[in-house]
Amino acid sequence: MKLTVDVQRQFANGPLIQAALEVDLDHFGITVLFGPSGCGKTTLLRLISGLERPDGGQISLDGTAWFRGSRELPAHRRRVGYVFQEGALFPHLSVATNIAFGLGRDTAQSGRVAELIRRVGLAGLEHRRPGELSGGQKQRVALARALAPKPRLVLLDEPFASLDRPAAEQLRHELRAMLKADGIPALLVTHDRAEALSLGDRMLRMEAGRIVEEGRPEDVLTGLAAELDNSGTESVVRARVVGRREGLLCLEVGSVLLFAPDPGGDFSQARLCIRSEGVALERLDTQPMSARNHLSARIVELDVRGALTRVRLDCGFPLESLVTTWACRDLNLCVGDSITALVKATAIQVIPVDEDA
Amino acid sequence: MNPAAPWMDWSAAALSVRLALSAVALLVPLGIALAWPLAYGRFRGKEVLEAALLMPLVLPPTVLGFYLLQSFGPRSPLGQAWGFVTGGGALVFSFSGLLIATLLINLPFFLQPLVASLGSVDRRLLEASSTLGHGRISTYLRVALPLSWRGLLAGAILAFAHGMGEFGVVLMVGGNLPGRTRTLSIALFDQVQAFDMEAAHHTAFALLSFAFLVLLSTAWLRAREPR
Repeated sequence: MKLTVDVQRQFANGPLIQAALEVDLDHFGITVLFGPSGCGKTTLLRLISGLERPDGGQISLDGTAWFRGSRELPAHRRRVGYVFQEGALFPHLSVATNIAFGLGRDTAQSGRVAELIRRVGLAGLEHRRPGELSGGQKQRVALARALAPKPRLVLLDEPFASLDRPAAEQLRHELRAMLKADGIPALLVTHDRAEALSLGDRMLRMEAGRIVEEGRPEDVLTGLAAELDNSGTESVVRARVVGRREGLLCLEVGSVLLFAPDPGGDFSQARLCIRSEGVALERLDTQPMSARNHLSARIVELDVRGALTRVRLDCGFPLESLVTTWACRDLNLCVGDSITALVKATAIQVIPVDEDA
Repeated sequence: MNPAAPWMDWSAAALSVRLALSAVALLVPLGIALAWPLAYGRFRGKEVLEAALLMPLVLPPTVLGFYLLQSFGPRSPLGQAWGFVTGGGALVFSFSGLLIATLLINLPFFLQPLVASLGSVDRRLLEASSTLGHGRISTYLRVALPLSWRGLLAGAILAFAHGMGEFGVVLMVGGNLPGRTRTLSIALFDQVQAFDMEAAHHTAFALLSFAFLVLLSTAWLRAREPR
């Protein structure tokens, strides 16, 4: 089954949301909807779930219209789960009854509730009220509640935003397994790169109400400004952990080895964010292969932007370097040249990824 | 004045309590049904409905009583229908008529705190319920209403208290028949008319203490309403 969305919505003080996307509902996968605050990510989720009505366009599931013209399938008939930023748990119900809320009166489902409580790690807290739970526990309940009726799709609106860092990271590492157990595909809204890179199978990048790019997270984020107030960009690549020593990780990217600071934790797959300003270029006649993080590269493109130049390199994987235009001239860089790229270990951020992502 | 007279007109007190309790028993289901469109509905003419339901708050009770008397009369369509259904029963000067009048005049007292409570329920909880497969009615009954129980209780208490003391409508519609339509507030009026000041003091003090306790308990409920 395929969910097809092509909608417009305009708020009085917001951008015009005009987004088209497709989500495959037959296979498990996490699609990340990534973009800055206020770009319309949450609104898009609300339109898909039926909580908000589009001004125009259409939403359909395999040709069956959920929204078209004045016809609209109400939210409670769409079987789309929704996890709100701050849980939105029913304060008058216990953990177990919150989770069972979407199961209707079918008491045969009590096994399902118990299973979910176990899966999200809340055994023993069944009879607590939401007011007696920590932020992380609340989000676990919210997730279990959304998954309980086995929805076609689950929408997660910045589910970690209200949590402190350790709780957010802990839940982030468990989220994938929780979702995957039922094979329910998910659409996750976030403005956090690490979150997007650690969880996403696919990424839709949103800007000012539109989806401007779609692809694998590493491809979408490569070359994108790391922060809004910074001209520096990042290259993002997939890597495999091949060794650990003295707080450093040895990572294999394609056939190249890179060393980077170990963020801790047990993982064997990662995505690396390499900051362009941490990649220096040198002309070395002899390649000192023993030196750490010295990569042989070929220049693919030179993008001169005033005093700074972005140099796109191919060193077995795409890599960007940000150097001064002066240095560029001194080194006499030309497209097609062979060169050595020095990647500072501290310019690499390692983001652990689940095995199958 | 009369040493053999009881401390209070107990049959009037019993009638007042019976009238107020019956009115509340009918108000709760009716009010719950009417509160939904007022709190969450978006439809044409909502303001008109609101104004109509709140009217008893500002209307002189005698005005409402006058119109009810007109429409309850044995020759009015309503009076005839009632007579037909009950086999000769009358709405004027009867407990049934009194009950309907009390119900109408107390509706806003019940609705206001309930609608206010419903309006303060976090919208996201209602949205969460709908994404979990619950339609509007189920969401109202399972989420909005349980979270507004303080407003519901406050409304029921206010309506009960106001029903205990209503004078104008009761006099217009029910008259002053001992044991049938003479409530406490009408007994008080009678006692003053008859210069039986001792009995009047008792009745007035009973109604005063009752009203104060009721307001105290609703204030207590509101203070504990979580935000």
